[in-house]
Amino acid sequence: MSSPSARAGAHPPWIKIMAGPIFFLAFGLIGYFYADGSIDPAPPGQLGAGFWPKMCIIGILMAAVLKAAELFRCIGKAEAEGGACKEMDTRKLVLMMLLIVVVVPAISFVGFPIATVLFIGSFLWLAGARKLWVLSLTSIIGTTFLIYIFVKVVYLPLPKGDFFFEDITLAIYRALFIM
Amino acid sequence: MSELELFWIGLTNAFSPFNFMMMLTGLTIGVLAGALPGITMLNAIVLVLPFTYSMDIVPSLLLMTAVYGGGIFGGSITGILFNIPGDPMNVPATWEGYALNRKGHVAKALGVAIMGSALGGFLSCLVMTLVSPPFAKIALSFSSAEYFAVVFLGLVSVVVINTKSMGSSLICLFLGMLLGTIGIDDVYGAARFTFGSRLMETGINFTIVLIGLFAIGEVLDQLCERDKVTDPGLKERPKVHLMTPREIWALKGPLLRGFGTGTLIGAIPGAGATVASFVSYGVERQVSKKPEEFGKGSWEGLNSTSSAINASVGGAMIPLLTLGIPGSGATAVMMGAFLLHGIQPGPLLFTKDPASVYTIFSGMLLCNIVMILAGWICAKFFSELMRVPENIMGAFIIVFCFVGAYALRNDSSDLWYMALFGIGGYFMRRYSLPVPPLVLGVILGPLAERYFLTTMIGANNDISVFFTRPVSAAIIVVSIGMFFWPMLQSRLNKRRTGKSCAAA
Repeated sequence: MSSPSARAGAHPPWIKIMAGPIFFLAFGLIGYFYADGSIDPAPPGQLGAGFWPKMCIIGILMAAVLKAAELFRCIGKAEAEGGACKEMDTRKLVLMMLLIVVVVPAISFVGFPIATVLFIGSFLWLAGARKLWVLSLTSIIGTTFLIYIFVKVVYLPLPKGDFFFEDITLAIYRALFIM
Repeated sequence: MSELELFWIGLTNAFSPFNFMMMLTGLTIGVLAGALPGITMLNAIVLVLPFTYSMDIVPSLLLMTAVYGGGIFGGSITGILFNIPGDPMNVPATWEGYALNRKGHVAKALGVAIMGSALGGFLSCLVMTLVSPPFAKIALSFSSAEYFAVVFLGLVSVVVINTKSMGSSLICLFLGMLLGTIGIDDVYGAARFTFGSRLMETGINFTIVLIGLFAIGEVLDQLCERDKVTDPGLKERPKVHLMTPREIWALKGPLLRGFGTGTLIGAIPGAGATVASFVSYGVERQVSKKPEEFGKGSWEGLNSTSSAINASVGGAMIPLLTLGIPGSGATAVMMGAFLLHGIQPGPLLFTKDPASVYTIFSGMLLCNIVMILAGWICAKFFSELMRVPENIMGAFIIVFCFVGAYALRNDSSDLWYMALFGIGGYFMRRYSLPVPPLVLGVILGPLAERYFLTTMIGANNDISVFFTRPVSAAIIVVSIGMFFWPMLQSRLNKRRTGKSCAAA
């Protein structure tokens, strides 16, 4: 990843500048034809269910043209890039995103308590915490607190997990006097 | 008995220890529920409803109205502190409040939100007490054309949110409106963009969109920044600085405009606090002398929208009490409480049981004063969380987001949407696509569609109906003016600058 200062100095090629509007134009066109073909046709004399989404898509197309015009006026100027960006730790970012995606099926499969303990521990480790007692205590105490609030106080039926994980979750609830 | 005497009796009743305790309990429950993502103010009202069965009508309604008022305000606390708006109506307060927090003004931002909400709510209750019946008649004369016009005004406020790039704002707004169409259509019952999946038929709940885009995007943005320098001032013991009378006087304009907009829109059945919050924010941006500060931490924007959301509570109670028409989910539950106690809200209520009515009026006035205390205590409690290390806070914010998403429908598919919108929120920030217009589109788009199509069906697809009805015509003309005014203003400024340069 180039440094922000280096990027602010060089003028990007026009295709890079126009990538955003081109993407939204393509998205709009595909979306329009999909809406036209997939939504039930309007009853006689009425606008029908497809009218509003099509209007929204036409709005996206027009806004993309407007954005392209705005960027066209800025070609050669630094503003076309949208200003300097913050330097990001790409590896950490990708791993955190992956963790956020992985925890979704994990919550359903292993249940909320186990998934949350593992998620908090892993997330803290990715975020730079290395002390084992911080990782374990934060994740266990935090999860217990959340379970008490949401299961015991608010009666929210959080996922208990599948197979034997459900028994483990129920055992945890019993140990915590939640049920 | 004169109205003043009734009001005095009501005030004495409201001050009875049990009623006062109900108010304080309700406010605390409301603020906490509003502040926790996933537990909405409506959830909290429904949760306290069973506790009211054994109570008299007055304490039970005071408890519920306190939860209502506190819940509406509560979401602003987590919005200001952590960029997680508790409810859609707290989104504009989050834009300004969180920006002020990042600048190191968290104590004052919380204070402005508390005082703005309390004063806006107090004034609207005063209006409710004085002019309920005529006000309700005007609100009832609104048809779907007027509702559409009001929502259209809210959508147009997108222009005032991001004047840096109109193109980007409009792309995000229409994208949000398109996301709002996913699922089974309200008017015709047709499936749209469901790709054959039953999970998609219920659509995407806007709370998931706003929690994901704001909170998860922000956490990733903050935690993954390389060589980040944390301002030591941000880690100091946080305080809540309530506004002094001089500060209130300095912000009297936004406060009064927010109160006016909130009461007016709150009184329109179906419009509610969310529309009031966006419209008041848009109006404030237009009349502000410092419009460039909006979105970057504007005291005026924060004060106006805080005032509007709580002013909408008083407004929403007008049609309920005077005509027996609940204008929102919260007032519908309250109507249920009235009926449970054998009382039918409506014009007869004022003649049959005026003492109860005036106790509710004075109790609501009192609630808004007590809210300063309850809001201050809760804000202090949540502010302490600011001292928690950023990585621990980030992990818990994400878990709260997941629980919040799941709590809405007890459906695991919402967790996928949450993860998707969270990651999307990060990329939107990265590529300078403004998040607020997209959220605005998801929230107001479905309302706009429903009112537009209902109007069209009634008017045989004649679009001129929006311009032949005076109220809708006036609102639409104002909206169009709001849309084009910033562009016109910048051209006029450029011409003026050009002339002065030429003269120099």
